[in-house]
Amino acid sequence: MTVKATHDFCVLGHNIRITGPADLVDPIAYAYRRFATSSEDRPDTVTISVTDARVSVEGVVLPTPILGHEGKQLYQEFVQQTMDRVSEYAVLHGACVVNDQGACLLAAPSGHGKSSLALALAASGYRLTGDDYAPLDMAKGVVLPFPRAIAFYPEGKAAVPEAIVRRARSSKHSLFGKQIADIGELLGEDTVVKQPVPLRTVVLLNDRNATDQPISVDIGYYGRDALRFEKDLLGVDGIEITDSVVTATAGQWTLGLDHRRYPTAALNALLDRPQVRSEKRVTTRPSFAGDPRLTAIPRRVAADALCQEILNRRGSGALLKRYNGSLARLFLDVAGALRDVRCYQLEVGDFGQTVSTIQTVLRG
Amino acid sequence: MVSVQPRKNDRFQCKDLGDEFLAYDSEQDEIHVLNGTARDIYLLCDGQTEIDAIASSLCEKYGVESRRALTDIEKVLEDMLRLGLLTVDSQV
Repeated sequence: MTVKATHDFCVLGHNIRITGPADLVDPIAYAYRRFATSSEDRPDTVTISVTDARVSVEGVVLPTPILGHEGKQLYQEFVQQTMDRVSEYAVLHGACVVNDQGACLLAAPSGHGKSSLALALAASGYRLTGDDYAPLDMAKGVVLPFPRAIAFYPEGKAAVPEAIVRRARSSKHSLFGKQIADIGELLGEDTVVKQPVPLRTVVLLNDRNATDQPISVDIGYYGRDALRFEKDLLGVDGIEITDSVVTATAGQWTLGLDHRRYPTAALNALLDRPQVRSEKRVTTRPSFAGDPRLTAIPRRVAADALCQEILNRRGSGALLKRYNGSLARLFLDVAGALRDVRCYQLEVGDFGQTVSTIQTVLRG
Repeated sequence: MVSVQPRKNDRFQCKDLGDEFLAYDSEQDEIHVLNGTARDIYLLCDGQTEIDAIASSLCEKYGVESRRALTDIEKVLEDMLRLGLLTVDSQV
């Protein structure tokens, strides 16, 4: 017999409810337990539900995913629906550590070690607003806490401090193959930042041999015009489809990008379509070898890099609607929020040395 | 005699980042980046200050010779007028 569960959350001021089989819903509830709210009915609550292995949003049933399963689709919708509603903040893709001088954002695409570095810094006494999402209040120049559970592979290669790995291994919770652990349980409740913190430093992490550009993109698309969308993808100069599955109602593609032919602008326009429900950009991953190299960079350059990875910047989302669809205006406000922020690029090297370099930056 | 007193165009929204100055053109939906000197010139363009006075102010700040400064400032002002960042109301 399937046990059903329902959970309510308030994420960055937006109410969202998920309901469905407990084995699908409960891991998300654990990951977002610090956003849990009472289950009273509120008129603005968005409900995402799973019934008979079909995910629906506000009663509208979504096409069945081609790859993956309804649990992953539920989670993707949970994140997407939440992010699409956030207009007050630019949700930056980064880990954010805090000391008495303020917040330091470690920004990088997935796989660049921001969570591992944040955990290492937390283990040495810094506090954490979150390891992946950093909502920036652009008017006030503050980062809001986003205390979602930290997800990682305890057996993975990332150089997370051993004491933390031991605690993480004992976590009984997992989400899509990754173990997840609440920040407070993992690092101690004092580590969890609960109030907005002024942003003081931005460190963009990258690899000396890498470009900042993605080398491939995975796309999930739900719509009866998936074949037409595929045609549009093929029409972009510099894009090659390396893998694809297309059905009558959905499509999934892996793209290779040739940046010498500047495909990014045209690709971003396609990815802004509301039928695109997931995208994952894969960049060259750092090797964590050699000496790290820190360079001060202009605030404009940092803002540009941060804007590439804003998690709620979809064309159909509330943030861009607030800016009448203008990414330039959004960029202006992100850059303005960096007015009193020191900005650096850090080519990551040996893990311990990289942590020391960030600590030096944080000491000012 | 024609006196020129350039002023900022209202259609631009600006952010001073300290190291650079950004001016967003709401008509063209694009951003212009001004360096420190261009920023100083732009901020002095209030529709009342003449070019000679702008030059004097910058000469004092940067310690440069006024004739050369005037030539450079006129060139920057020409660029800003061409881009629409500034406008000029001529007075005879």
